[in-house]
Amino acid sequence: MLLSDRVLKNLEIDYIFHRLMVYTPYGEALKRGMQPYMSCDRKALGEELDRIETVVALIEKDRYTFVEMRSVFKHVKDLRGSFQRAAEGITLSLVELFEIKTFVGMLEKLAHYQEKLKWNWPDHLKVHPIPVLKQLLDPQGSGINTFYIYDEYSETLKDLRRQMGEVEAEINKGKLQSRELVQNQLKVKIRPNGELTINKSNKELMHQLEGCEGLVYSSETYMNITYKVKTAGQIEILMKKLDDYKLQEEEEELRIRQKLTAEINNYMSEIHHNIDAVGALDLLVGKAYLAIGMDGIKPMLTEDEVIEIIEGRHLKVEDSLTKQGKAFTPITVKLENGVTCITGANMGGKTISLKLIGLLTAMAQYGLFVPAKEMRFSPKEYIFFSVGDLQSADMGLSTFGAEIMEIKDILQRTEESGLILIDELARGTNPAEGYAISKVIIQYLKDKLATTIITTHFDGLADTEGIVHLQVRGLIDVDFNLLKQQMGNEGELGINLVHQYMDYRLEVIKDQRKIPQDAINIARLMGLQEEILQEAERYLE
Amino acid sequence: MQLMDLIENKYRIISVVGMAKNAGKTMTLNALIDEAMERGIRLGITSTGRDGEKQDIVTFTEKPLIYVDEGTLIATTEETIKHAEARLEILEVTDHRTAMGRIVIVQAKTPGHVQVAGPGTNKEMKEIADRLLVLGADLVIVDGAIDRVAAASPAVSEAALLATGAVLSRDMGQVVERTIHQTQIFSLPKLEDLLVQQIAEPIIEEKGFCLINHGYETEILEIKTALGGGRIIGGALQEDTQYVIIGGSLVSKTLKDIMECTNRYKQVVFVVKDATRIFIEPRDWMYFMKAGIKIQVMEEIHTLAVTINPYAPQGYFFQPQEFLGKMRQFLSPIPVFDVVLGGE
Repeated sequence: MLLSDRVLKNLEIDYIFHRLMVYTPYGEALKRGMQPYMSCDRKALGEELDRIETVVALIEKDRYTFVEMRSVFKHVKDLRGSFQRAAEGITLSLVELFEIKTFVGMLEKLAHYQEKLKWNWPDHLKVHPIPVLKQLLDPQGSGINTFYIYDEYSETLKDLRRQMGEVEAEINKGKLQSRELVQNQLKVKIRPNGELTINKSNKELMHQLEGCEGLVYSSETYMNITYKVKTAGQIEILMKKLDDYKLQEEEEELRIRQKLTAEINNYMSEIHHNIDAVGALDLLVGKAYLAIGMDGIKPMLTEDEVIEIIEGRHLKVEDSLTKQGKAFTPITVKLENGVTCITGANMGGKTISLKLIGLLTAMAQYGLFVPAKEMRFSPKEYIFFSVGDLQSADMGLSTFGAEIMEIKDILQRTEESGLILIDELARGTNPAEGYAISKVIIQYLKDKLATTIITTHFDGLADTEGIVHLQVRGLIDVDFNLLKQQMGNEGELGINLVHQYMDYRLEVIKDQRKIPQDAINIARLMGLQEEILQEAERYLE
Repeated sequence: MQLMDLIENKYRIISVVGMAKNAGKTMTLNALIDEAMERGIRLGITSTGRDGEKQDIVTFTEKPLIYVDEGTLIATTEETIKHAEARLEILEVTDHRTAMGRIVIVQAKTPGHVQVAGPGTNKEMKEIADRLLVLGADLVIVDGAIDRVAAASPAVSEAALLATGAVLSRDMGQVVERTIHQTQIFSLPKLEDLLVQQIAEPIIEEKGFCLINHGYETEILEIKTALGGGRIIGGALQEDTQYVIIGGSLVSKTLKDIMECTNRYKQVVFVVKDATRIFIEPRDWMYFMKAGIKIQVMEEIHTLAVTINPYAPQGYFFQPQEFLGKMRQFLSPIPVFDVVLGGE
């Protein structure tokens, strides 16, 4: 497993999947089942990333066709249940046949769009129209996407319906004649259903109606009496005949539906190919749109144990900064196996950098483009991410205890090609012992196959021989005396100010430099009481 | 005069709502269908379901069998079309789901009986009704659920037919009273102040509550349930409060609680989305009106006509001519039709 559920959650990869839009139920199923590519799937991962690259290029060339393709996707319904029933020999209903007809029509459209895009689509993505089924469900060749049991399905049905039509016409004619006869005779208005209801108080009319040959008593209430136009004996016979026909029609329709179901069953393998292809196409197009939407690039696969990100961006943080009208400072890092330490100011984005490295690596291994200018990497066996604030109280562990538990486990896998991300190692305990433990863990990890990145505030951890030291540039170029004056004038404090002056970029430190002590200055920017800050500065001296 | 004379060429979506079960809604519906057949109007028919209620299966059996002409468009459920007598062509399967399967839109290829069961919410009903128009219906009739007037909401239909009948009470006077009450509520005046409309719209959308004063300043009230809301509203009414916007339903208790807190209710106008959101009994209504409570609606309901059924299934009945005459006298100018004896 590349990532545990907890690491998945801490990296907030959901945010990315939420933006990966699929429209068909088949695409949705594939999206839900997405698994990361492991290092043994390197070839398949490369091919998938190449396909996204191709589709991105196709979208940029012919956006309109993709808009049309996706509007077809939106109407694709999940018919797997119907096909399953058909395969089990259960006769499809009228609605199911209609939906299959719609599906077959969509296949034709999608295949047409695929052709228009002029790419040699790999077979697992290629939609194969099934003209035989189209013809089967549109026997009139009308091209209209509605459905009923057409006369064309059988001579028997056609004859039956013709006879029914004739009988119905005769009945209607007969009824109309007798209705009009009575209407003219009695000068009353009879309802279209052949009934006439009158109030019993109208004795005169009632008497007339009683005596009328063409009317027959139907029903009465205390107040009213209803008469019906008498149907001639001949019409009675016709109506009985019509009922018989209706029964026969129903039987014939069932027989036809059975036949259609059996016919559809013959094409089950084509149908299933298309279900898979539509899903895969939907997902691939979704990935390509995601790539375009986040201004992403194709990560390059390498054989070396390296993760190199040039101007990588953390989408979620970037999005929330954009909403505030601010820009995300892209992060550039090159990580090799062994240990890299990230040091630097509080609020300098160390944790975000760590998350970004983990997230972009995970995205690449899920076969997605990444938000960066360039990325080179080799697929990892696992991504481990220990973030300081563990919610392990339910296990009866302190922050420190929970962290150690996790690290104990991961230290057993350091000979695999993995990515270990640890945010502020041993921060939950006293500095002296925390430092000692951290120092030894770093020593232990520094020449292993796994790539480890650790953020820390401890002095002297990052200058261990054989490890890479990255530092957030932080507030180094800020003139605090000037800033203090400005603040005095405007009185604006807090996160916005920190963000304004913070340089989030990482730089490689070669000498044994002390970790810059920005905590007091940042506290000042955040607006901590000046008397406390000055007292703290006195202690430091 | 026929019912259709009031409708033809004037409205495209109308609803038929009954004040109670057996009030004659189905007879009204059938009368409309007969008249449309005579005039060659292509109808679209749908019905309101009962959203999320277990009685769906019961309602299923209660759904009226409707005899439709060839060419009629019907929006009903997957289950009901299986039992249709008319030959149906499927035009569309929608994504709206009910306990009886998805809503499908069909067209009758031959005349015959069909059962109609529709979607649950007003929003869905409106969408389905619009779809029927797009697919070629000249006029859409929304068959309202038994004893529910929600389909009359202007959010769904442009005008409503109200079916009432002897079933409401053994006392004809009572039936007349309750029918007048319903039409009174249906004819509540529309909120005319455009600025207040603008302010009220989002509040009502979110089923919230707010007060608006003469200067168009608003105060949002945090009210969890409408039942306890009266006291909060009453306590919040200021000297210059002009409007009380009520997002959900308006019930008697809320108004009574407000009246108990303050007499400032006399100076304000209560605003609800439309008359189908008001649940107040006639006696309370009279009292509130007398006390000087003013209610306005965001959207008006147009009551086209009232149809009456002088017979109750319990076995009693009213003298039809007397009943019709009385109804006409009290409901004027709203036209009244006896759907049992038919038009004259």
